[in-house]
Amino acid sequence: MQYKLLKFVILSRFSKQLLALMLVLLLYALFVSFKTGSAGAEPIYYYYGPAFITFFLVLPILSGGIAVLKSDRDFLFTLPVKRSDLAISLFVVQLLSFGLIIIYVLAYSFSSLTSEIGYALTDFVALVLTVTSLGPMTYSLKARWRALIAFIILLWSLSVYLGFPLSPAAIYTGHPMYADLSSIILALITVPLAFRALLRVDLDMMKTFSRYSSGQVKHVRRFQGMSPIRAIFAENYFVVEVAGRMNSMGGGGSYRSGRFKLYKGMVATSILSALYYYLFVYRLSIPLHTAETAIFILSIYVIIILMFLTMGILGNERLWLGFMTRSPTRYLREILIAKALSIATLFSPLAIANFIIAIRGNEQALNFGLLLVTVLPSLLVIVVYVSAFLSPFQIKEEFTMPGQFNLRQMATLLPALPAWVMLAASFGALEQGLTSVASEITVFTSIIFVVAALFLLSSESLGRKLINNLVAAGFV
Amino acid sequence: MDRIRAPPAIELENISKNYGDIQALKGLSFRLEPGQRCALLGPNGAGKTTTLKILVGLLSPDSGYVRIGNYPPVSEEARRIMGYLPDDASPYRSFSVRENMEYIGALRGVDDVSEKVDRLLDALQLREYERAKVGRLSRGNLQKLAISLAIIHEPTVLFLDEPLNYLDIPTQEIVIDQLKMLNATILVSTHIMEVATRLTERVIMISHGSKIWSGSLSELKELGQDGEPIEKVVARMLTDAV
Repeated sequence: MQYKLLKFVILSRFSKQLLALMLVLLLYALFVSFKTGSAGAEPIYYYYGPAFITFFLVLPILSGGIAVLKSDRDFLFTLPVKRSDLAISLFVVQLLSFGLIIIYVLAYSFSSLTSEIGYALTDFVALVLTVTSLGPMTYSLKARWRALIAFIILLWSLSVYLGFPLSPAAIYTGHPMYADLSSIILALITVPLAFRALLRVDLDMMKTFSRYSSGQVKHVRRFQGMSPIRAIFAENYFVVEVAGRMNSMGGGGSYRSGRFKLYKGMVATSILSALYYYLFVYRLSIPLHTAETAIFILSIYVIIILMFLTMGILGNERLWLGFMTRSPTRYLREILIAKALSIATLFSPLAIANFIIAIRGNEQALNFGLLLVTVLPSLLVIVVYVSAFLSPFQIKEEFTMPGQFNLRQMATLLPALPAWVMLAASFGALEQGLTSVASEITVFTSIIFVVAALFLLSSESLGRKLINNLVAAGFV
Repeated sequence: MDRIRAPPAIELENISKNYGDIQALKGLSFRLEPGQRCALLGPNGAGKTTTLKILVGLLSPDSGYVRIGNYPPVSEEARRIMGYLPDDASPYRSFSVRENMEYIGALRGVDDVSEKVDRLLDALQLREYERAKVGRLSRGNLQKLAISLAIIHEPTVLFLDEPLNYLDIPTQEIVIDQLKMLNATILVSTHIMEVATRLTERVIMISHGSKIWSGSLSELKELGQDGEPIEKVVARMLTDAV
């Protein structure tokens, strides 16, 4: 019974093709971790290892949730299935959909940990279990409690930068035993709590629904007197929407979305960019233009941010409302332009910081600056188009999976690949001392992506096909 | 002097639509004159929803000709005059009731949006939920909000897909009154005969993507044998069409 249930629960959430790809990626990551990689890159991992661990410990608390389908609530949870069998099956799904991300992202850093590989393996196994457990453990808590837990873990994990050894990320700062101790403690706390939550998932989910659905809007936004285009910009430019459900390589099962005003976001990015400027100009000794740095930073910018920012654009749209108020392709074009400009504006403080760093003599910062204000907004448009054709899904209900994880969802991020490769090539040129070539590659990359986005936006027939595809996919 | 004849409010000619190997519509044609109220009747899978989506310009037909008030459905002119309520309509989830109404009103270019919103909130008894997030609403109140969003700009051509779903009987009466007050050309897709009789005076019956009958409700009643109820007549016609 348990095997059959496990198989059913996994296959109802993952396509077989995706599972096969995940296995290949996992084996490749493990192969890379033990067989390849250049030793001596410790300074890079000293900075980015703890940062990544922290990020993936905090992410499931803030947005992870559990991989439960609506049909589970309607049918599976009502079946006479042993609760423990159900909990184990759901835990395995959490592991596949979220926990393994630590391996995919950080396996290659093992090359710098060969002298303490036993400790490193223990640390990573405990971290995988912890990351798997944090979503189920916290999804039903109120937002302030989740924020508090996330903040405590963030401080604890990042404390390695201040020399504190007892932290799960201390494997990168020369304290493997303390790292293991911390990770094991974390796993011992989180795994039982996750199982407890999964054992009563049906009851807790109803509690979560009723709490989240009882809200009233504190400040009603007014659109009185606005022209249509002003209303579109008020909603799509001045408000930023972040969606918290991603593909199986990062993110959670359930869907959660949040919105914040653009100016509030800009306050945060301004503070971050001031910190960024201070760290890179005055404090950190790592160069911006090494391949490792490029991989880390571009991965974060291009993949993670883009996934968060594109997920809800079409998923939260309503064809029968916005698209009915004017020519559908025109409405599509206008909301995408507003969203792309909104993202460019949101990250403009960080871009400015990079441009100033570039003017001060670190030309490599030009890459990041242009990435933020040209490539990233253009990619947003391109990814929306690709996802609309490959894997469209509409969000009709929060806190449940909108559908099965499949290979097509992964493919929606492929447009990010050429951007990543071209910008990495620019970094490579910088490493060789070819500054002007690097700048030319960067500018060329920006132009290509902006032109590609403008082409998509201007194509009436493509817009029509996109909308037809959404209708065929069941969008209302 | 000859009177200039107004163009048909809805005109659909020889429309075909395939979804892969499945033929959803096969040469469907009909037209509605301004002010007519008509029910689009048919069993599940007959092509009613596909027809509505083509009429409102959300789906392109593979072949055929569609006009709304003499304009292509995706044109700004057609968009201005038409309203659409889909089956299982879901408004913007992150907005409150009032925000949904004001936002769509603004996008529609409605003058005095606030005034219109206030009138609809009262007329459809949504006032107490004005500030409520859409996720908080019951299915019935969600349907009332969806109806108000479809009619906030006082359309002259209105497409409704199962408009009375989820509504209790008193609310159904309120909604029927509101819809009749619009004096719009209305095409109602339904498989419930009572909805058709309450909202319309004409019927177009389709099955397997083709029109099998059209006429007035009284003509339909006359097809009944020995006092046969109208539902039986429709059921017999749809069964015979298979």
